[in-house]
Amino acid sequence: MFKPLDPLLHSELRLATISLLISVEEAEFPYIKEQTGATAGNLSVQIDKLSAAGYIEVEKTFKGRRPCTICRITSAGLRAFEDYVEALRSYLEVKS
Amino acid sequence: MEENNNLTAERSLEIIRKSIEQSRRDMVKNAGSPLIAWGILVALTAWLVGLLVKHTGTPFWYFLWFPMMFLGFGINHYINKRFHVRPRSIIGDIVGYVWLSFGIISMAIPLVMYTAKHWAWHYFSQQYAPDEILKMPIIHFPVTTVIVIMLGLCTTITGFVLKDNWIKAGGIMAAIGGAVLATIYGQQNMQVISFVAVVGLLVPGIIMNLKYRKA
Repeated sequence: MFKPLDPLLHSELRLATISLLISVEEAEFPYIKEQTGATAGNLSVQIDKLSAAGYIEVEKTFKGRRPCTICRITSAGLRAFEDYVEALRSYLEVKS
Repeated sequence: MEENNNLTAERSLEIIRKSIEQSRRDMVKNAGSPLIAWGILVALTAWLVGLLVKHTGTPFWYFLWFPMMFLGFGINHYINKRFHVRPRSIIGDIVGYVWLSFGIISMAIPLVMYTAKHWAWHYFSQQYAPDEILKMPIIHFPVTTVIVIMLGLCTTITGFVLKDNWIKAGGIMAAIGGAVLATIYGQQNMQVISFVAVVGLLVPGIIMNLKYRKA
């Protein structure tokens, strides 16, 4: 039986963002933008969606005089990611 | 990367794998740069101090270590700022805190020992006659030896955190260099420090940068 895939994570950009945040404590917005190759506007929208779902925590601060956005994965985000990987595994097991 | 919701299971796994690999690589990218900077700085300062003390005969030049430490902290700050988009990780934090602790303690020990020595000398010279002072038991605290052994310890810890045998070996060799230092006096003392800076800081730093840039 297939496990349902979390629709919030089943998107290239949101999945890449969560995956980048999984092994770090926090990452700045420019880093995520650079690694995903997304536009600032699109990434900002996707980050807002993840943040609204409680999957990530967004902190807006300043680094010197420059505004700085820092993203961190939350425990809910970590759980959702684990469930997503588990669901993916059930799909792959059926295929093989 | 677009907002594509029609992902296959394989494509999803590929995104996860690539992203995790990328962030792990970036966490340690250029992590060796502060070690390289400190290694060059310590080796050059030790060489310069040794040379100046030898030619002028005055121990005043040992005070050059203090401006060197401030210069080192400035360079460290610049390196951290330059690579500011690197993500923060527990590994980076541990390595950073280990070296920050080393910096604070290795700066505090000489300051406290120097102050204590002068205060004690001033106090006892007022209370006792010079021949009585000479009969007192004097404990020699080998500041440089302790600092160099600490440096070796911090390099070894860094090697264990980053799972790198070359860095661990460099750290152990630096700590042994510290022990050798306890038996050497004078200008050779500075030569051992230069060697330890190269083996315990510069070489591990270069290895770290080469290894993680290649990855």
